[in-house]
Amino acid sequence: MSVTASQQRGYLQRSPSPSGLYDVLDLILDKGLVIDVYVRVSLIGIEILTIDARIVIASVDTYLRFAEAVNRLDLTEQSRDLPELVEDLTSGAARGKGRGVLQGAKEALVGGDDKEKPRPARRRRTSSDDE
Amino acid sequence: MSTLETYVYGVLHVDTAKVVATSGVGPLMGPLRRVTHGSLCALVSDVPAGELTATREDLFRHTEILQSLMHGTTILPMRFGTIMPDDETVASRLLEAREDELEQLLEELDGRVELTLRAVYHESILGEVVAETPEIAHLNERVREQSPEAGYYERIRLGELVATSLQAKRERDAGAIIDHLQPHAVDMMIGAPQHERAVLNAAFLVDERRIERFDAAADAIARSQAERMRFRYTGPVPPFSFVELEGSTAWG
Repeated sequence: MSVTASQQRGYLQRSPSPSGLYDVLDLILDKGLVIDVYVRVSLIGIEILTIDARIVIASVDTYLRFAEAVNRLDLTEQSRDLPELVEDLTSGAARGKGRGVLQGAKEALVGGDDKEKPRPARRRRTSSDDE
Repeated sequence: MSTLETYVYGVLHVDTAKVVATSGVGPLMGPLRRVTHGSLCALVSDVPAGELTATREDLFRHTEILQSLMHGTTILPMRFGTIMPDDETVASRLLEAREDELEQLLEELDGRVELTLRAVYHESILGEVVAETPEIAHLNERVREQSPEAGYYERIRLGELVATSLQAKRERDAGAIIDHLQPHAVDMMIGAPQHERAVLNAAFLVDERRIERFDAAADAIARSQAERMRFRYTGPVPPFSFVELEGSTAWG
């Protein structure tokens, strides 16, 4: 996790700029001015990765992780955090920078099948931002 | 057809455009240039013609360039990967053809920045979920007594109940956070969740003069919720989430 420029002040973790690949993707991938058909940089696996990370909340994998987490809740008193799904993935992607790694991450996530692309809720107060 | 094309970073007023001696995205890392039409200009650099494969560096570069320019300037950030055939097309199809809309956006966004706030529950939130929902507590006990193989479908059911319960909790908590911050913002966009325990991923458009108040409000809510969630705050960044042109909804 690259938090070079971020600092903990009070209870907020602050970064003046996006501090990881996922942050940057979240900021510039489907936002910003679009003119006609001129967006055409190839993102190979990067785009797929973000979309799949968004899907994963309603997946069997997530359910199994939740089940495992509540299962061990009372057994281990200290709260060990679940792996940070997205951050793990993106740091892997950051190292790889190539299509292979990202494609691999996609297959690991959803078994390689194509799911419907969820769009981020676009307007204020459309609060259910995931399924 | 030329061997070079023009990558576009953003649009701003000519009189506020600073000289930036920095290199752009792509394999050429061409120096930044300006393409001007009337009082508007686009910040551009050369990239090789044809399909360009983005690298991680390119993603950061695009963002950094826009961020470095935003201080004291209103800049409309282009979506990452906008490439036009040449400078003339930038002038005609972007600056000239959309002049009125661009001017209007520049006016609306004058002195405003984007701040991003993300909240994610600590794992201990699951204790809350179990305590609040007898069905989950009961199923949890049952699943615990079974081998992973025998209890596979019950495990999935348990996880699904947890996810549903978490979703209800998330809606309440996200609503409370938004209510707390909205008075300090001009506009807001809810983004897709980034984490399975995500509470909120939101971009706020904030008047520069009100950043401190927004900060204080964000700090206060982060403090009051510190036991349950962690907060990440990014910005100020250029208003990426608030620059949709006609036909889209950002200013509808």
